[in-house]
Amino acid sequence: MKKIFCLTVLIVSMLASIVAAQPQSPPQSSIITSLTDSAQLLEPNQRQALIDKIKSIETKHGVRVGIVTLKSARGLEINTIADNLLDDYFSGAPNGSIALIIIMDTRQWHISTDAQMKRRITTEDGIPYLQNAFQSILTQGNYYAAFDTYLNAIDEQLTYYEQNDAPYGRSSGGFDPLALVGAIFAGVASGGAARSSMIGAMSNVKPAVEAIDYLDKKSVKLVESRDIFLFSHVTRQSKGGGGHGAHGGGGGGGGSHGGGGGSF
Amino acid sequence: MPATSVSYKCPNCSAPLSFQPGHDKVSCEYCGAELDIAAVDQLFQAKQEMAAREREAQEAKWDTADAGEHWDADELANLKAFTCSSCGAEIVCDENTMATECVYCGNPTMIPKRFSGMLKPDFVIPFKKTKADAVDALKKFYAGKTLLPSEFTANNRVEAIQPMYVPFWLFDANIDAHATFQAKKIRVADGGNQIIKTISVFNVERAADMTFERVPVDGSKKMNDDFMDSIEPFNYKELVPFSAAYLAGYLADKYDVTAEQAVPRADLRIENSVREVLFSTVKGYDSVEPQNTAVIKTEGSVSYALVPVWILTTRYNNQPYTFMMNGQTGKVVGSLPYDSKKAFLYPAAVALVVAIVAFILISLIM
Repeated sequence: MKKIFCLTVLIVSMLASIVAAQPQSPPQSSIITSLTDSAQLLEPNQRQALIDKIKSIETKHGVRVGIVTLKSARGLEINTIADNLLDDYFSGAPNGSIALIIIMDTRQWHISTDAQMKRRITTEDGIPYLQNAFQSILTQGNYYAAFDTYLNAIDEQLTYYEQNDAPYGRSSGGFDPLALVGAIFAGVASGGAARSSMIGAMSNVKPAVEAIDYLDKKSVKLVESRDIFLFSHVTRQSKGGGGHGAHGGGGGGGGSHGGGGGSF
Repeated sequence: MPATSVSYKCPNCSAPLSFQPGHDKVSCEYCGAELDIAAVDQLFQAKQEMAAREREAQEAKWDTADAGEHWDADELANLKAFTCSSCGAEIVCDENTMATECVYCGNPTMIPKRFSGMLKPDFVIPFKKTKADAVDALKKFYAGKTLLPSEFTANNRVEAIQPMYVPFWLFDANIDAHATFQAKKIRVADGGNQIIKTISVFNVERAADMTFERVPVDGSKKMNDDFMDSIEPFNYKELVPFSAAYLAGYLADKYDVTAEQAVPRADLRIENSVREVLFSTVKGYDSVEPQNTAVIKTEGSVSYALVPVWILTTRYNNQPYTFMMNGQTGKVVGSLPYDSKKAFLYPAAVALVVAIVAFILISLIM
């Protein structure tokens, strides 16, 4: 909890310092809004157009949508920033929240979704759909068009969900193949464990391999205890990231957040 | 097999170590590990000491000569031995005990003959549990066994119940134990764009003195070793000096495994326990791997005792099933048959329920 609080303070102070340096930035009292362009990628009229579009999507679908651009992550993991911003500033909508974070110095993007939104825009199908829609435009440096396309793609997927009662990529009432595979695996594993436990309970005959029952515990006296340092191995592993493919971020497999990211 | 000599090998990869002239460290040419000369000195001095201890451990012997005594003339006059004409088993009782069938093979013809050729036990644990206790305990043993065939309990009749004193060798030992372990501390640090993992390797030595009292090893070839191990433990507070009077009304197996022959099983159990005790003292590491252990018996004596066992035999599908009950504590051991249909259906039901619940949960989460 303390770690999350510290992280949030760090992110806000990072945003505040960027915003304070920009005279045309929004006031401190509303640092994080639906569109927070700390990297200064958009013209004021483009910002207003995107804010209007976000408001319209939020009202139409009962969701929260956030777009945040940053100059630098200052050593923080982009998925951690995205998840924290989502929880702290974009949560509370009845049908879920989604936040897109852009980091300019590493040219990374990441989308974070909460549990409600994961059902509407899935990590497996929905996020790749968004990626296909806006990443190439983002790479070209046409940020307004990229964000506009991203918002349109969100609107499409939420509309699809409302019309079909199933997220994009899945039919209504159909089996989720991943859930089916997971359920079969859990069933077979637990059935196997139950069988082995039930058969094991039919016999209590086993060889004795130790004699600890016959040790006089009071007699144990440690007479020598010596620890000698020999050597150290140091291995350095790159934190990775920067791949172009969308990847599960922060719990696509069952955690509270879904989403994914990549580079542009 | 513990090493009784020492060669200078890398503690990381076991390749030969070599001193590089002009360096203050000894390095391994194969894995690149570098060790301080002082650490190498300490490590190999410890290894030399360990090798010496292991040589000493190999030379240490149990004093088996004192196990058991000789019978006196009166006792010999009252003892009778029965020999099974079918399997050759030989059991002993007093002159009033009738053995009508062999407890091992069920052969009804037992031929009495004069008793001869057995050491007199030092101790006996008298029977505390009766025949009725044994039957009740067996019924309780069946309870709660979900895979037990219904016919097994419905038509089950205990065919034979025999009380028998089983010969056991009891090993007492004062142990001087030394062990070495390779232990690792693993630290992971965040180094900006990298994850830095540092594994520090230590040579850990522990030595301890401890005493084991009356580690039991059965002295009968005919008694299944696993069954005899499983009826443990015994309450030695009720161990009394042997008297032939305790045999009245009971059978006693004649030992056919000598104390010398039982030594390897006692040694193995004691060594495993010593390793466990020393291992438990190595703390503060992320992984610990045992290297060498030397277990020296500074005193090792053996005594001979008879312990009480109820042997119960039942039959199902023309197959005999034998169960044994500790005649002192009432602990029943045995292997029950299981119904193949139940062994498929019950786990299948569990699998189905878990799969449905898992499917619902995963669908909700995703």
